[in-house]
Amino acid sequence: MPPNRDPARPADNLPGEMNMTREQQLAEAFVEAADTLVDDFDVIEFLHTLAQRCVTLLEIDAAGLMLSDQRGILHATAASAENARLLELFELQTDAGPCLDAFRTGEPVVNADLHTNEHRWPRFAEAAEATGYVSVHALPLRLRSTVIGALNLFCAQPGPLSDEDIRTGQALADIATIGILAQRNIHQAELLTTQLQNALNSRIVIEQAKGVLAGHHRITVDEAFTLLRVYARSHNRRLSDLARDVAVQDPAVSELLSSRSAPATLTDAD
Amino acid sequence: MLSKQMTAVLALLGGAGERAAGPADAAAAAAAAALGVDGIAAGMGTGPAGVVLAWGQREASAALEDAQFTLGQGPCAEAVAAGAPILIPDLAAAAARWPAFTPAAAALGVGALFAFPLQIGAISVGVLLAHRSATGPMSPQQFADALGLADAVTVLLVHHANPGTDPADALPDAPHPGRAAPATYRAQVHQATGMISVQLDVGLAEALARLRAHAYAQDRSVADVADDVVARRLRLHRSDP
Repeated sequence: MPPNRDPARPADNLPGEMNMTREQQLAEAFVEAADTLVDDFDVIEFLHTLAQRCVTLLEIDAAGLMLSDQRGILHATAASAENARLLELFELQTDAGPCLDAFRTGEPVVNADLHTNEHRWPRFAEAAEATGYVSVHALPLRLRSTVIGALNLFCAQPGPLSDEDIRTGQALADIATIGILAQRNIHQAELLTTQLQNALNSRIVIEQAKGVLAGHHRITVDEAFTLLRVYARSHNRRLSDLARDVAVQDPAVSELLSSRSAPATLTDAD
Repeated sequence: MLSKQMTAVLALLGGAGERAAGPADAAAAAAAAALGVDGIAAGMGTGPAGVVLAWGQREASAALEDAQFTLGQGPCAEAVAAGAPILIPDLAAAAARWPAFTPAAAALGVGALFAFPLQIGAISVGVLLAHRSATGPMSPQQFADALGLADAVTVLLVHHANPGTDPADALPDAPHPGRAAPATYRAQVHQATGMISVQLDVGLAEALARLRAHAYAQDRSVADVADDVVARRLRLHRSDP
């Protein structure tokens, strides 16, 4: 199996990242945040790209973003790797872990060695180690006094993040907040909740679309997500728009839904 | 978090079903009070047949919907297109946005309008429209309550559109895990909805209704049944539940 077919890895490298210094990559992330001001910006795609950027910038193994809804319930919204997303979902279900602590307190939880923190989140520590992560860091997504989610960083090796890494990580978390807020130009007091509502509903559309593709092609939902992203990129479409068409099985995407399209599209990307 | 008033409203809606006029009226009245509005209406499309929840100035609500439909502009269509609430705390300030609709709404005595799309991902079943004569924004609590109400009404409408799938039909008052609201659904529920939609060749709304009905009939949680569907341990059939 080619490496980038593995759902545990990012589907593809970001443009030019191999040749960029950290400063250049950080600048690139800010440029992407500025792109959120244009009309056809896709918040879920942006968050996925940001999660991948965290991995290369901070030299960690996986990153994920969780957003809160209006009830204060967190939802795993984007991740650089499927196993990180599963771990986040596990944390949400067991209602204990570093990301939830960062969200609830608004303070970073860094250098949380899972072995020494076993008593703090026993079930999470166990699940994380089973997934291959021994160290976890969580940074709050903050807007002034409001915390809207958390950025989670997962490491397969023990070892602390430097102060500079933590500052960079928090800057990336702030970029995520800016991107979420900027996604639509709505001038109203309820801006934040509205934007979150929109981002969370986009995520639901993507899950429905994954199910539709999995049903059509008899593939797993993770393979379905790869297929969806690859197709969106190769056809220059917003992920959320494509997902909506797929979810309602719009004739415009019949090519993607037909039984022969899946292997060809996946192969094109490899 | 939802307010106590709205939590009580959702309990009324979830327990009694929308066909029992008394409790639904009580729920709508309590909802309007919690949201601080004069009138509230939620439904599919226009006309009384599609309205499942209405309270207060019903004539104004109906006239507002008619005006938007006739004029082809207004907050409801925009809420559906944007996939996000459209909040107009001061209708007069929206005159440039909807030049034909604004005077028509003002003539009905409406000062502020709030439209919430009734949606679960790509499932879109209508709009919740609340209005009042006084201008001014909703409080953050009222806004959160309105979103929670929109979620609950969306589920009612999904079952309304697919007769025979409503868990409330079978056992009106019993609390049941199948009643969980979409906001608390895990990803697998939405993935399973998509898979069932393909397997049964039905729309997403019907797929979700059938998933919930199956969970109810088996006395299991929607999330557990969804896990089985996604893992291909379970395949729903047209004759289910």
